[in-house]
Amino acid sequence: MSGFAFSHFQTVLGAVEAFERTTSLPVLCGKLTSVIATFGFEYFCYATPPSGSRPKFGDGVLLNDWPAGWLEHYSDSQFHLHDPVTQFTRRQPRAFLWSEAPVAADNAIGRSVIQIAAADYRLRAGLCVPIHGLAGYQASISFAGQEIDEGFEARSAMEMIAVYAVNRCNQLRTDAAVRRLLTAREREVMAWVAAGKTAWDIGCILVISEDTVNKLVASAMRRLNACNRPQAVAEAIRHGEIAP
Amino acid sequence: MIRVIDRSNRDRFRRTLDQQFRMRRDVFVTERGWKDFDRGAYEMDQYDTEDAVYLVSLDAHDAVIGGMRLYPTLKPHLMSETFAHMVDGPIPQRSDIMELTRFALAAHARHSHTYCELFLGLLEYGLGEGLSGTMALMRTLRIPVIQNLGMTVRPLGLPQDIDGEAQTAVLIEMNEDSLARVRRSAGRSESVLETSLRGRASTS
Repeated sequence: MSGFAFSHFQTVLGAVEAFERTTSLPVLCGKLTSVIATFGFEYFCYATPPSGSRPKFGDGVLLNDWPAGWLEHYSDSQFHLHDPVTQFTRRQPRAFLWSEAPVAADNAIGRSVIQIAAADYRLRAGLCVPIHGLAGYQASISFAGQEIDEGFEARSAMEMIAVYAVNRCNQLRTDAAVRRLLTAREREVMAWVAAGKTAWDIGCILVISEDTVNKLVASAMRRLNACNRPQAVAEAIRHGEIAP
Repeated sequence: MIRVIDRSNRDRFRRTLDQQFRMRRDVFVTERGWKDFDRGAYEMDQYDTEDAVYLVSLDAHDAVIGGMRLYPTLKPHLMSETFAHMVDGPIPQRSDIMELTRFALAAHARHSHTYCELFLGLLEYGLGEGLSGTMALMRTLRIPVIQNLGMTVRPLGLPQDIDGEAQTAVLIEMNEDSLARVRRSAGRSESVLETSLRGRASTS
């Protein structure tokens, strides 16, 4: 085996270890961005496809370091409906270059998505790795940059890096979900309590009744084992339920 | 339910073993076109010896619906003899690591229940036998699937093409944590191994 291939595999093993040591999604995100730079990639996006109940592309994004503005632009313009990569990936058993995804002759929007990505957001070339679950296609993770290594060895290494980054991301998300004490609504209300808002203020902000706000605060206090609001805020911060 | 067949009980379970070879022919010869291993009604290769251990999934009527083969890595095995180029570095050859090959589900049993049961059987058997891992060649696409079940998988080399499919040599770790995770994701708490075989590691 060539020394070239050996070093790529060592990069993969190093990445797998580094991912395992990460304890939060932002840290994993940073690690992944630095690892993929080895192969000329600058950006990535890991997303499950939009569905009937969740039609916006942005809502299915699980981890990403896309250029500023691109995700919003892409999601708001519903580019996923025309992007040749998002259509192609569902049927692919392995990683493929964006340039390998066929563009239908009548897909004018698809062609402009590719042009906008390359010209305005530095996403000139990319590699997409489909991720499967027990029931088949589940998600994709795309990597992109200006000058990427398109060699077979680099693609194989990137495929492994993708698999292990996705696995770590899923583990961290599951851990976070298990650790959570409060419901999403309770967290939202407690964040406003922490900001010094009264129940009446919060009711106006969230467009719910003052009574509902008080009920949510009471149940958050029970879950946090707190006897009053200041203590509940302190506990919520200590447990990482709301930002300090 | 998973039945473990090894040299100690292969005569007793000859019928099950026979069905296992027939199912493998359906899957590997008929479906996947592995003509080299076609032995008439069976699919077989040089590693189907007394040293092989078969974990076979049986339905309620004792019919074979899935299975896999384990083989000691201290003897020449498929990875060391045929797919050595898939492993970057030394090929594991240890008493506590076996090679997993011929993982298959019968066409009518390709659902998560049988799939999970086979991996639960693998973990229970491996832990009972004191194995630290099993080495396997698997489709790269399948790695996230079994990771999602709760298995711990380490790459032994970069993915490469075999018969037009991206495959990767991996080491599947055997530990109690994995067993607990797979049990949780499969929603099962009981042993999947055949009752008469439970505790065989300590009694034999």
